Amino acid sequence: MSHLSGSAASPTEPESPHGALFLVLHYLQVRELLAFQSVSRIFCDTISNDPSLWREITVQSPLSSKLTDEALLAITSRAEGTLRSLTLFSCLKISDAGLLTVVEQNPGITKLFVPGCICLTADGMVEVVKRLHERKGNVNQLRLRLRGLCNIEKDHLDVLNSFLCKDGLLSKSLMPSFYGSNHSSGSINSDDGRPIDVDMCPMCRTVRLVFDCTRDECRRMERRWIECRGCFFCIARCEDCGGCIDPENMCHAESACNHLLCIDCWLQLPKCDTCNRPYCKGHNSFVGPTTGFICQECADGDFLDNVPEAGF
Amino acid sequence: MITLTSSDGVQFDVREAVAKESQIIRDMIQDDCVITNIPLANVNHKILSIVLEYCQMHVDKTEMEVNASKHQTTTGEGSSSVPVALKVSSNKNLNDWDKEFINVDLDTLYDLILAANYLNISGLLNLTTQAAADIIKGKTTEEIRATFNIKNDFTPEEEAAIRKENPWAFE
Repeated sequence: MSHLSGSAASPTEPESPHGALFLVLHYLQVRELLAFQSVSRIFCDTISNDPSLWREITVQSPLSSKLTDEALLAITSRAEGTLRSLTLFSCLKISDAGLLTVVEQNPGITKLFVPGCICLTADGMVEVVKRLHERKGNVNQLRLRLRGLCNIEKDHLDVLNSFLCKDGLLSKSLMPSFYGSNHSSGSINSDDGRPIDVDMCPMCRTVRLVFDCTRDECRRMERRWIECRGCFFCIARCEDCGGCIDPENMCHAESACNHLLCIDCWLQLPKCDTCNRPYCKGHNSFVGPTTGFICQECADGDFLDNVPEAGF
Repeated sequence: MITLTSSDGVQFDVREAVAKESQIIRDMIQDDCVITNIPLANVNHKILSIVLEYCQMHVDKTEMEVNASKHQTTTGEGSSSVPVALKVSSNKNLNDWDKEFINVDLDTLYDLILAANYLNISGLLNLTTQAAADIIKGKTTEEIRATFNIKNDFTPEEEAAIRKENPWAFE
């Protein structure tokens, strides 16, 4: 490896960095790469001169709110036109123009995830995809994640689908989309291979994340798209199993973390000794393996109640 | 059985399936099917024993799953949910085992990364480099230098100039 021979320039130097660290650089995200760059000369040279380290860029908190169009251009240009994947979580300062410039410089991009980037617009995303198509990019391999994009309408979705899904509806209906627990990080932004994450809710006709029911018996129904497919606002979904929740049972299946649970999952989960409410699986770190537990809310309440009792 | 010899001359007898977790050993065995003794010039016995422990565990788990699914096909459709549950729990156990396995000191981690890279064991390389990346995550430049014992060979002016390139990342 060339960067290893670089350290041989000063063979007596006891602190020449370990060769393994250069392999680790490929696993670092933007923030850590930039921090590593100012560690020492050899890392500075390696990181600035190796475009392959910058081909897959992910920017998330705490850098999300600081990333400007200018900064985005600076880091993406290090890939020297070979950027393959760009994921921006809630980068509030990124504009349509900024993203368009990045895409123009990197027509080989196949993954563009911008969930929660609220300054981007649906018109802007359509423009990005059109431009990629003009630049002979791999538009039919492109995967977009647009959750939270402003003002996205059915027309935008139709145009995007016409570019991304050459086989029409085929690729869309291949795989049902299930509601996964939001707090098991990444699942909602995970790359499940679908071209676009959002779809038109068949019930309220808005473009949002739309979920199929995880229950086989629901999906096998002849009228299943009408019965059990919709956005989170139209059909309540269980936090644990992603199945639909019978509205009649909702008031009987309260959870200690205020997430919605279906009655089947609710019955199986361990309950708080005091209020008989369970935590959903994403929040069950408070629950011991065998013994009972007290939920945070009751524990806080108990603490206050116990103070005067202790005085008696 | 295949004999692997470490750089310091210690011999390890392992099953072929275990040795084949390494892509380069797999290639060697494919090229020459009578090969039984493979010298590994870049891995000492201490690291090789840890690497083989990893390979052994992962081969055992995979074989267990295959046996479970065979058992399912012989017992018929009725018990289809059992092996799925078994597979999920065994994946979970393996992840837990990996997490415990990688809980080693920094020098060992370095050596494991280089060994996994040399032997081309993609699972182990991913696991070890990701573990190192997790150590780096969230650290400042100074903390990285201290953790990995790297000497700062910049002049103060040079260092300031580099930071100026991306001020937004260091605020």
